[in-house]
Amino acid sequence: MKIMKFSNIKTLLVALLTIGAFAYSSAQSRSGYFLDNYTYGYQLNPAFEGTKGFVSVPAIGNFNLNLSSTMHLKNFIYNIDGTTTTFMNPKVPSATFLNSIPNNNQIGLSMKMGVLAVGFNSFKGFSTVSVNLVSNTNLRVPKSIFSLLKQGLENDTYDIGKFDAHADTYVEIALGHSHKINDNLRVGAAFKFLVGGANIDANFKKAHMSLGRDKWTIQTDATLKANITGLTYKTDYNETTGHRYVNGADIDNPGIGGFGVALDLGAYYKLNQDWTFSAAILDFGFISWKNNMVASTNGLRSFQTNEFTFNVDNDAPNSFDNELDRMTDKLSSLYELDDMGNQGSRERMLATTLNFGAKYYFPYYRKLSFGLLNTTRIQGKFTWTDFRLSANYEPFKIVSVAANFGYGTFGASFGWIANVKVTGFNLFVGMDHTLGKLSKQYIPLNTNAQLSFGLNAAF
Amino acid sequence: MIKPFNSTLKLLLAFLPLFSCVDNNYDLSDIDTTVEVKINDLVIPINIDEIKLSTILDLDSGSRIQERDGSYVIIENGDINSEQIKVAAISVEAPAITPISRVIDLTSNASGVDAAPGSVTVGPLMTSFEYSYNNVDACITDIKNVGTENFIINISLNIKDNNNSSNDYELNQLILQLPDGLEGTASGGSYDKATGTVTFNSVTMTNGSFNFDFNVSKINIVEPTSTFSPDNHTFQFSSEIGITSIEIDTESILNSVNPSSMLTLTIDIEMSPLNITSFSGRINYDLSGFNIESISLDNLPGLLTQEETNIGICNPQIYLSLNNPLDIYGLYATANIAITPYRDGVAGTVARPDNGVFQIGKGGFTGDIYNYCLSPEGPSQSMLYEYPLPNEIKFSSLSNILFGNGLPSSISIEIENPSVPNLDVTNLLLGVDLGAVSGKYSFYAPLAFTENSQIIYTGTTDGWDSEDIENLTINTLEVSLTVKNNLPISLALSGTPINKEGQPINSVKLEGATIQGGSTSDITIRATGSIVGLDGIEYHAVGTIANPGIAISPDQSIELSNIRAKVSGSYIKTL
Repeated sequence: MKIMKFSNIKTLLVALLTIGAFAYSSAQSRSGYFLDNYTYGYQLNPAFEGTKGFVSVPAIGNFNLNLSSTMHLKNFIYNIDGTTTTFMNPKVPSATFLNSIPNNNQIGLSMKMGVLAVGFNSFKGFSTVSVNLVSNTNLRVPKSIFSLLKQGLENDTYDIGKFDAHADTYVEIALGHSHKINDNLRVGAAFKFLVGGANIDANFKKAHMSLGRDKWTIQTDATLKANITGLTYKTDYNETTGHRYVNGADIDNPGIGGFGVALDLGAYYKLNQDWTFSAAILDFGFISWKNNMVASTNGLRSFQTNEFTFNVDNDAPNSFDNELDRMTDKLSSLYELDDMGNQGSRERMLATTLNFGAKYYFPYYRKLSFGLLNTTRIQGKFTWTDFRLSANYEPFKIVSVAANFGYGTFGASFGWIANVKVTGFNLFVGMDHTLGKLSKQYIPLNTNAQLSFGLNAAF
Repeated sequence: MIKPFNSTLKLLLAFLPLFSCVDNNYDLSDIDTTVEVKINDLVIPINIDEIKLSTILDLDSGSRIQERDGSYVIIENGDINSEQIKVAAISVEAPAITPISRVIDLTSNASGVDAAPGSVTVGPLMTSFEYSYNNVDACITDIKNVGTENFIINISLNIKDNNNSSNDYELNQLILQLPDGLEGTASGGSYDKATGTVTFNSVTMTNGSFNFDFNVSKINIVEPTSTFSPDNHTFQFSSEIGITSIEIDTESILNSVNPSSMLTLTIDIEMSPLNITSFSGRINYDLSGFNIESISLDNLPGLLTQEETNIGICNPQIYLSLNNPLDIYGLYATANIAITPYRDGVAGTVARPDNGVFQIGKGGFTGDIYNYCLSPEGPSQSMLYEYPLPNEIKFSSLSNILFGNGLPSSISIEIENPSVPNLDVTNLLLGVDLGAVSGKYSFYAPLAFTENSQIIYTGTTDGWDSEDIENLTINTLEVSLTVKNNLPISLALSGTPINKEGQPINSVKLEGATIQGGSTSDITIRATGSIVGLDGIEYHAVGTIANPGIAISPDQSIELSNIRAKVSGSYIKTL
């Protein structure tokens, strides 16, 4: 067997990363956490062992769509007098719209596509090898932006600094093993080698607008860090201010953006016949990104109305026209980023996930169990948490179903999963967030959705 | 790999409706994209630089308004010229004078003259002459004397005896009688100006001839010899002339070889043409030909030229600088000056100095230039360099020369009835150019307005219409500011928002404000009512005088501070 040339591997990885950036894949379905025969339970807790070995059907072995948001389409689209309209329509009361929006809003799109996965018994435990394509996109939007849009401008202070965006995509090659320590305790770990594709972080350290009665002040301090091999910023030159600023980007010969490692650790403890407890920490690691192209305001930029004085003389340097031009230039400089060039490499921690679960087997009917799972994803400003109470039913070894109710950062949700696993065949389908109402065009009005689907060969 | 993926996805999506329900009220293919952006009593702080009057007026190089000594003035200069002053000369042809002839009988005193023994006295032997001129220049109202040029009276005596021979004769005394009032030079004898006689004591008539000339330089008007009638402009010089007496020594005649007993005496008198080249008397001369170009008031800033503007100037001044060509005769002129404003070719109220006629060219020295300032309040310091030590003539009504409905388009300056006012004159030359009155004038009006002045300015700024403005509704617009008005003019501001048809937006009332002159005030300009479809604003400013008498100047300014524009409204647009 010829070993693939490194350059070919690299090309393949880059291709996968590129596809991954546009493909929807899953954060793993949490509805299956408490199902014993859920094939991909090891990805939620490496201590979980598979009941059967498996080989995934490439690309569709573990297919998940997940979109989470604290803001929902139904918060922005309204039916007024039989017509669908937006929140900015004057017929939509401000209070109705703003009361439906939390103070801090997140939109998350987590993607994890199983390219290939294999699970088998080995080393007196259960081992897994998987190659996954991971992509995360997060957006944090402060409510003040929507207040400003809906309520209008008045003499007030607007802090829209809590505006952040992040996106990354990488390939993880994971080697995992679950091992029984004793009759009660089982532990597991997975070592992941990470190949970075792209990473972008954009944030406003400060975006502050103070519209006082005597003076208006606007301040910005923003930074954009992009780790994409082959990326350079395009710049333009403002003749009036003499400022060269970033107005685009070119990507030439994209490639691998960096390398990293991560660790999954888990434990599963059977207290007695009724109670089991589990805990896991997933994706504890980092990627060292190279080619750190930074564009920023290079410190605090500010605009003050006191800096501008108009002159009624059309020939004066500060005539109305000239001063308005200067004001426009000054305003645009608030968001004209400087190309700070390649700042070298930087290490970035991955979003770590903590899972804590407690399962109770109903003593009068052992095929029925209840579970409480807390999932917390630690990702700085994009951190979220979710509590999920599930009822799990496994009438037969080959069939298991679960229904759950969750509540957390993204609100309440109703989930379910159905899993069939026989020798040679495994099919599961589930939703952590049932869609609820859809628009006429089948767009979920509640912008939380999760769909899991997998087809594997079990042996 | 892709095909089963797609098929699976489609299969799953087909099951979606089992886990959801479709709400047809949310049709994303037909979204009403009407958006409203509100502005809620937003106060916008604005800074505006000091507004100098020089910026508001923005004078171009051809403007009638100039800056002088830090103030704005209307200034117009020009020249003044009259026609040459000339009094016509008097010239009369020489009269024909009948000679006198007398036969003298030496043997008796038949001639009727008492004579000393050994002499015979004859006389008076007189003839007459007459000069008459009836076209004396009408400006001459009285003549005391006239000066003559080349005016010679020649008296020739000739004695012949019976034999018609000319011998030498001795005259013991000869008294010639000239006309009264002559002054001049006699060729001999002793001239008595009072009696007009020329007396010769002991004259020898060589070959029986005697010649006498009298070069007349002046004829004094002595009636009845010389008369002047101002009514019919007639000068007459007529008189008898001849010999009062002639005493001939007869002893030498009778003792001669061939004594004559009879002598014939012939007297020929010749007088030159009478050219009167000067006169002394009284003259009332009308100066003519004064030409002063009208002052055009075009090219004034539009701020001052609208109808209903009514401006009184506190101290406009007219300066005259004139020579006096008749100074050497001690003559001066009097005149009036009429200032007339014209609006669209129609004359307004004429203004004249308070005391009417004033004197020009009196009290100085020969060659002096006479300066005058006609004004309500006296000359300006800045004009004294050009018109030093002017005679001040009170002209109160000049303040209102610009007053009326809108500024006049021009102002005419007319010198009325300039004349030498029937003054005594000595030796005024006749028949020659005596010179012309010439000089310059300036109309100088510092723009210091009278209390009753009013400046009206109405304008429109429009063309704001755009799609964005159309979508804008302004419910509240209020601008508050502090105004420090350093102008001597108070301004009452008002305005009306207009739509793109140029019509007022009737639902809106704009409350203006008054900015007091020479003071600091807080004002608020407020619009009440919803402004929709705004295309511009028609503004109206009325300026009244807060500090009369203070001229406006380029450095005066209006300072606006604490400008706060409060706006409420909304912008509604369908994206």
